[in-house]
Parts: sequence; C-alpha cells; structure tokens
Amino acid sequence: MSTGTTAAGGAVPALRMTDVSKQYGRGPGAVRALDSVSLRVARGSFVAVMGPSGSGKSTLLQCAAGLDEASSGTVHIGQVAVTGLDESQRAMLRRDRVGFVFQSYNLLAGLTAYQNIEVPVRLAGQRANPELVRELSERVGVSALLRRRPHEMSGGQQQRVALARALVTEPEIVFGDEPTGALDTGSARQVLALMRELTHRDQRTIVMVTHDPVAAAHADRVLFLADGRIVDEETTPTVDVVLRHMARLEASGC
Amino acid sequence: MLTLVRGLRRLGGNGATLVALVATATLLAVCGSMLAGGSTDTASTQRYAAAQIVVGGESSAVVTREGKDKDVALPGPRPLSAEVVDTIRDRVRGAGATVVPDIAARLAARSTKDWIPVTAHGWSARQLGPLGLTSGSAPTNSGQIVADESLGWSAGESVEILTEAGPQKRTVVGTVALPTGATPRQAAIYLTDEAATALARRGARVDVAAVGVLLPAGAPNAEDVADDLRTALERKGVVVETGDARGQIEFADLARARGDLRTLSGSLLAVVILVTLIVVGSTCALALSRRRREIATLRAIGATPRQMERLMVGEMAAVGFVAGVVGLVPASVVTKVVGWLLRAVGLLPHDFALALNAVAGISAVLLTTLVALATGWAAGRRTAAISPVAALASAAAGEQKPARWVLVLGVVLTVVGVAASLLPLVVDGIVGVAVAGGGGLLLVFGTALLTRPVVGALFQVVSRRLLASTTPHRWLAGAGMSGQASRLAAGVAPMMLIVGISLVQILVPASLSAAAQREAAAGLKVDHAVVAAGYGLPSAVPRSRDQHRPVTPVVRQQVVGVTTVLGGPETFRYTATGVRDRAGDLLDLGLRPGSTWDPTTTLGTDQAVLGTMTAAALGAAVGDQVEFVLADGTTVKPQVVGVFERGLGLGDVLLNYDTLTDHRSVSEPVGRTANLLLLPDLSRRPPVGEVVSAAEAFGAGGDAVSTGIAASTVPLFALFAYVAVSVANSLILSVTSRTGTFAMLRRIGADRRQLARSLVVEGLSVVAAAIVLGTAAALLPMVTVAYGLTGTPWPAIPSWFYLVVVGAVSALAMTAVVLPGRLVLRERH
Repeated sequence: MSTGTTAAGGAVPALRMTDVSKQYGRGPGAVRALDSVSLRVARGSFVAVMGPSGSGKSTLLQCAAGLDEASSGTVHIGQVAVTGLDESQRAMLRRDRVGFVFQSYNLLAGLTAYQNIEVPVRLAGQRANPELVRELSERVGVSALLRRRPHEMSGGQQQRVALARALVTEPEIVFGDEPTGALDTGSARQVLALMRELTHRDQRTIVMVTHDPVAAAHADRVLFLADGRIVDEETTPTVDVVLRHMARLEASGC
Repeated sequence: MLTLVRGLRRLGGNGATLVALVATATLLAVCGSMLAGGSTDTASTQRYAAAQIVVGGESSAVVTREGKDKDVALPGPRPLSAEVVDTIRDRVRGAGATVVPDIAARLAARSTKDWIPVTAHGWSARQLGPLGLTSGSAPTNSGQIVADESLGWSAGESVEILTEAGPQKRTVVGTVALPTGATPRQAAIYLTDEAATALARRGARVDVAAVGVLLPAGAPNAEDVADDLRTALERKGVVVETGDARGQIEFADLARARGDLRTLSGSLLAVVILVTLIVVGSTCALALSRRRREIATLRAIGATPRQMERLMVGEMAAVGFVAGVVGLVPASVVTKVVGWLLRAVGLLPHDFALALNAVAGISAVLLTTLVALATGWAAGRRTAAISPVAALASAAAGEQKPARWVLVLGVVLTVVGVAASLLPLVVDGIVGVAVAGGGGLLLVFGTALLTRPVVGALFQVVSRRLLASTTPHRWLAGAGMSGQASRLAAGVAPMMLIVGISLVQILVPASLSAAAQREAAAGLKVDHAVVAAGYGLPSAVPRSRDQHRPVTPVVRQQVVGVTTVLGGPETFRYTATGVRDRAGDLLDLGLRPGSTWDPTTTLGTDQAVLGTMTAAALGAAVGDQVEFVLADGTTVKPQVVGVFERGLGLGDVLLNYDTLTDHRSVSEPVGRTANLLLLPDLSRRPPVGEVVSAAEAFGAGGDAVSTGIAASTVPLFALFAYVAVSVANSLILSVTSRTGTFAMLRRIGADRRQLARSLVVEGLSVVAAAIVLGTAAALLPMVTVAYGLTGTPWPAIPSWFYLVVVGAVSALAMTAVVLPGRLVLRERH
C-alpha cells in the first residue's frame, strides 16, 4: 500500500478528496456523476452529504470509500492514497480502515450480534478481542443483546450492532448510506445522537449520505451536492436551515 | 449456462418453480409413454396380413388356490392345442372361411456362412401373407425348402438346418416374398406341411403358433366373427386378434417387451410421484421463502389468509399448466433417449421404437398442474395463515419450521423402512430380500422428509466448527450456513435422494448377481460352454472316449413356482435348469444332507431339486410335492428329492431335461435342442455356437453384476436427470438469493476470492451431507440384503458404482454452486 503525504505537524484529515471526477460511459452519451469535487473531512467530525436524487451523493460515497475508482483526482483515507490501489488492495483498505453502515442494517441473519460485530476482523483472518467487542457494544448500547440474532432485535438495535461492526476495526472513517432511512423517528433520533457522541467524545469520523433534514441537522457540517458538484455548505445546521438550502437547490435545479 | 442462470434470476422464485415443474412434466410424460408401451411401434403383421382374424396363444396362465385365481406371466406365448384348432374350424365353417394353422419351429440355418436364426413354417401357412413364389417351385418332399427372398439364397442351392439331431442338408427349391415387397422382420423358411409338423413336434404335441382365418369376400364383419371366436375360446388360454393387433401374435418379442415395459414403468411410477412431490415441494418452499417479504407486506396491508391462499394456488396452477405444456418438448427427446438406452442394454428388441404417447402427454400436463396446485396450496396455506406481524418478523428471520405432518410422515416411513430392512435376518429367501429392497426405498424417502431437522442439526455443528476457524473463507462459509437449515436442506434433499435411490435400486440385482457369480464359480466343474444367440443347439452329442465327462446339453427355462400364502395363490419366477444325463459329473451342486437324489443319476420326470432360496420361498422340504407352471402353461407337480446350496448360480430349480424342452413356449428353440452345451474340453467343441466361459453361459459371468446394474439403472435414467435438474435449480436459487448479502460483505471488505472460496466450502459441505445421509439411509438394507443372500454383511454394491454416483452428485452440486456464485460476485456492488 502506498503512503500519502503526511502533513507535517498538523493533524492528517480522515478523508481528503482532491479534484475528484467520475464519469460513466464515453463520448457524447457520457454522464459526469462527479465534477472536480474537493473535500477534507477532519478527524472527529460528523459530516452529512445532501442533495437531490441524481446529484452524485452515492458516487461521492463510493469513490471516497474506495468501492469505485475515480476517473481523475486523488482520494486519501488517512495517510493512504486510495487512487492507484487494485481491487483486492481496496478490499483490504475497506476492511481495515473504513467502516460501513447501511440503510437496511445488513446483518448476517444466521449470526449473533457478537458474531456480526466480529465480521470485518474475521475477514482479516483474526479473532476480535472480546474486551474490545464488549466495550464497543456498551458504547453503542447493545451489550445485553450480544447473544441475540438479528430477527430477535428491533431495527434501532440492529443498526447499533451495525455501528459497532463498522467501528470494530478502529477505522479511519465510517461511511453511512442513509443509516436512519429505515428507522422510526424515535430510534432514528437515538442512533443519530449516538453517532454524534461517537464523533465528539471518541474522536471517530463519520460521513453519511442522507435525504432527511432531521438527520442532517445532527451533523457538524452539511455539504449540499448538485450535478456532481459541492454547491453549498452549512456549518451550523438546524432542520430549518437545511430545509431552506434544499428548497433553494431544488428550485435552481428545475 | 450463465445466460440460463441469469434468466432464472430474472424470473426469481417463480422461475425456479417453473423449471422444477417443467422437469416434472417431462418425467411424467416419459414414464407415461413407457407405461403406454411404445404406441408408435409400427410392427404390424407381415406373414398374417391376409388373415382377417388371427388366433394365438396367451403369454400367461391362471393358477388357482382355494378358489382364488392368479394370472402368471409365461416367458412366451403358449402353443395352440389341437382342440383349439378344431373349435375354430367348427365356428367359422358357416362363414365359408379358410382356417390355416401356422406350425412354427425356431431353428438355425446356413448356406455357406454363419448360422442364422430362422422360423420354419409349413408351406400352407404362406397363404396367410399371402407370400408369393418369386422363383422356383413349392417344396414337395422333406428334403426341399422354400426360403425368404431376403435371405439371399437361390433355387438349387444346398443349405443346412440345425435340429436337435444336428445339422441336416436341405435343398432350396424356391424363394418367396411378402406381397408388399417389404423385408420380413423375422427370417423364415417353408417346408412341406408334413416336414414342418415333424420338426415342430415337442413330446406328444406339435407347436402351432397361430391359426389364421381367411374370410371369403362378402363374408360377415371380421370383428363379429372374432367376437364369436372369443366367446367360444374363453378360458382356453388364447387371444383372438384383428387389425393391427395381429402383429402382437406374430411378433411375440414385441408383445413381451411391451409387457416388460409396463411392469418396469409401473414400479417406477410410484417412485417418480414421491420424488416429484418432494422435489417440487422443496423448490416451491425455497421460492416462497424468497417472496416472504412480499407476502408479509400483502398480509400487512389487509389481504386475508384466504385471499393469499387463492392467489398462490391460482398462480401455481397457471405456472404448472404452462410448465406441463413446455415440458412435453424435452419429454419427446428424453423418451427417445430412454428407448435407445433400453435397446442398448437389451431390455427391448432392437427395432422397438419408444416415443412420446399422446395420452401420456396430456396426463402429464394435467398431473403437473395438479402437483403444482397441491404444493402451492400446502406451501401457501402455511405462509398465508400466519399473522401479519409474525409474517414480517419471519420475513426478516428467513426461517420457517417444517410442517408437523411432514415430520410425522418422515418418522413413520423411516420406522417402517427400518423394520422392513431387518426382514432378511428373520425370513429366508427372496421374499425377505425383496421386502428389504422396498424398505430401503421407504427409508430413503423418510430421510428425505426429515432432511430439514437432520440437516439443521448437522449444519449447526458444521457451521459452529467453521466459525471457530480463523481462515476467512472458512469462517465466511460458517457464517453463510449458520441458521440456514431450510435453504441448505432444499439443496441436500434431492441430492440425497439420488444417492439413496441409486444404491437401493441396484441393491437387490447387484447382490443377486454377485451371489450368482460366486455360486456359479464354485459350482461349475467345467470351464467352458457353448451358447447360441436365438436358436437351440443339437442335444444329440456324439459320445466319445471320455464317458465320464461328455459334452452335456443343458436347458435353461423360465418356470413359475406356485404356493399358497394367506389362503391364496402366490407365485415366483424361477430359472429352471435341466441337465441331459447326469448332472453330478459337471456340476457341484452342494446338495444339503437329507437329499434322496444321487447326482450321478438322471433326474426323473417327477422329481425336482430346489435351491435353498426356492425351497424357503415355496416352503418345501425333501419329500414334499411342489407345483410349477412350465413355459407352455402346463402344470407339473414333481416331488422334491433334494435341496442344494448353489441355486442362485446354477438355477433356482433342477428339473428333468425333457420335461423342460417338451413344454417350451412357441417362441423358444425347436424340439429338444439345448440352450447351452457344457464343454469339458475345448478340443471337442461342436461346429456350431460360440464358446464362452461356463459361468457366463449360466448368466453369472464376470460382468454379470455390471449388466445387472445397467439393466436396473437405465429405467431410472430419466428420474436421475430430473433430480439433477432440480438439484441445480435449488442450488442456483440458493446462491443467487444471497446477492444482497454478498454485496454487503464486499463493501465491508471481503474480497472476491474469499467469497468464492466460502461458496466452495459450502458446496462441499452440502455434497458431504447429501452423500452421508443418502448412504446412511441405504446402509441398513444394503447390509441385511447382503447378509440374506450371501451370509456376509458386506454390501455387494461395486465400489465403481458408488464412486460414479458420488462423483456425479459432487460434480453437479459444485457446478451449481460455483457457477452462479461467480455470476453474483462479478456484478457491481
């Protein structure tokens, strides 16, 4: 794995994207999903990415997390340059340095909560430190449910287990793809509060894509995306402010 | 293959069910066509074409015990008695008809080259064709014959015919041909009526194969005359045929093949229906489990259980009907392939065409629709009846408990199967063995029904072990299998059925052949024998120097043993052996103590020596009288004068040579000719026939076991193909249903190789489970049958057969797991 530049003295950002473009297809029919996006996410911050459908949110997430290769530009996760890694190196990067939380939790149905938390460690051919798993599960509030299987837990509980799974490798950054999209309001609020707490108190870094202004309002920073560019940013988000931004975006989009 | 898999995925659950049902329709249509007995077979009558009515002997006889009748099958048609011929003459005299008896003798003839089997007829029988002279003239004395033009002999040529006395010279004086110009299906020569009668004499009577009735122009309807004859000849053991059915009298081998086919497919059909229900049921359950969320949603938004049930039943009925119709296309091909295989292993005559039957096709479509309806109803009822909340919860869980009645039935079948399998330990003889074979099938089906809980428990252990591994792909496999009993069981069940049924089906024939092989090897004191294909060998063998070990004619003939069971007749098919002169010099029978017969003397006409298994089945001991129905339907009641050990190898029963040859069916060799000659030394080989090992001549040669296996597995060929389709189907469904899980694992850092390998581990586990379960289910009867037949518990199933089954199942399963896995993993996350 090649090592990126180290910012002397200063903290290395958890995620750094420079002039990243992503183009699908070729010639006149090509679609430019990302257009020279540059972005830095500092360690310990909670960032939300919003935008209308087709604005490039998912592509941004995929390029940032090393699921997909950028057409041009560079992506660094911590000190590691994602650009230039091959398929299996990127898989290892995701396993060791990146965490994922999905809308539909995506826990393995046959495994207990404990085993589900362990998955990324197991993929690396190791066993999770039981202490660490216990600590993490306490942190996300599922320590009493470790022996249960997914169908014996509520959606909110499952998403907490998924969060613990994302954190178990102590990743540089956690990406969330609509992590509260499938939860009821109450559970969603609790999970968002937990995510905020994890970033502020434990210095974890979370970037999530969302449609929900309430979810976005829990973040430290909200980026607004349209036509593959970051068109706006809000550093003191509230629900009202986010809604206003979105309204403006959608109006200009028509 | 990949395109197919992709198409299947598009169709989702219903696609898999559709494929399973298409295969079902195919299988049912093939089985049905076999049952119908090759209806497109066009061998209509040739030599009897001019006779509007043909009367022939039945290929069965009736035995009676305590007022109860039972039909027994004979190896060929019975000859017609003089009394029958007279009755026919009397009955049709009024109509002005001509009655022509066809005297027929099966023998061999040659000009300059090899001996070929021909049928010798009397000259008057030519009118039945009517065959016309194409050259030369009619025979006028016993030294002259007229031959089929197709034999290629010309008038004036000198030929030989082979009778019980040996080769005899004849002169061809003319040639005949069918009026249609077609090549006759069976070659024939025509002798003067007197010569034919002399030749066809068997003991006290003459073999009349058929009687043709030639009605004059303007005579009453042939059907009416035939009906009148049927009434007059009722219970005389004859059949009266008109039209196309006359071919069945002329070509007894075709009629017999049809009967065999019917018996074969009849016994297959029960297996087929059970397998079908299990396979379609498990596929349907798998498909439904994929759609459970959709069903749960429908229930949640207010669909009543009744509506859901109707929806599912309606859907399945439609799918079943379409599948039934589509399945007829492969069915027509598979039927032909099965026909070809059956001809290749000799179960059918070489020109017997097996083709898709219309009635069978329509029945298959209807049955498939019914099967679909039934499984849709059963699966849907369970899925639809649960409350919406439970439905949504179990949609997330992805697991459903198996129905209670399935488990109860599984346990009952297993228990009955175990009990039946133990029978050979208690009951001697073929009855115990046969019941154990059936018990084996029950065991296999019982186990198939119990796969869910059994596989669940098995994989619990396996996945726990795998989850303890730190090798990522093993761990992943463990994670994939944990708590997935129903998905895995759906893959295991059909595969274990293949393994189990293969073993059980060949179990009895393979054990019998193996035992026969051993006994023949131990019981034959000579190494060689002469056999002939399709004709008899002369029994008047010149006696020479070595009077102790002469060339000895042997007759092998199928007879039926009759006994009383539960106040009714019970019959068993046996091979009887008759040795001309003294058996003791050439055969070591292994006579049991207590036998009153001296094997160095000739067996009397009222005496019988029974093999141990025969004695057990008939419940007879030395001194008792036993009843046998001979090949021409005659009943004899000889006294048992001995019991011998090597019945499986040398013949279930020994009877007097002349008793057997004098009561052959009309399709068997002429007079007292032999089926084989035991050859004590090669220098005395006669100028006819083919020299083979003595064991082979007794049907117990080195490849007897393999031949037995081929004969008993070919009918299952279609069934195996069907199960293979469903195995592939359910495994593909099982793998592709996990696209979402794989995508998630890819995202959180599993690489493609790890996932691909985990699939291989899972595939191997499924294969191993199927093989272990299938073998375990068949093991008990395998051991008891082997014990019952050979006295050792070591199963007679050859290792190559086991390896072929295991190899085929593994290859199939791994292909069905790895290929769709590749496809799923290739997709973009």
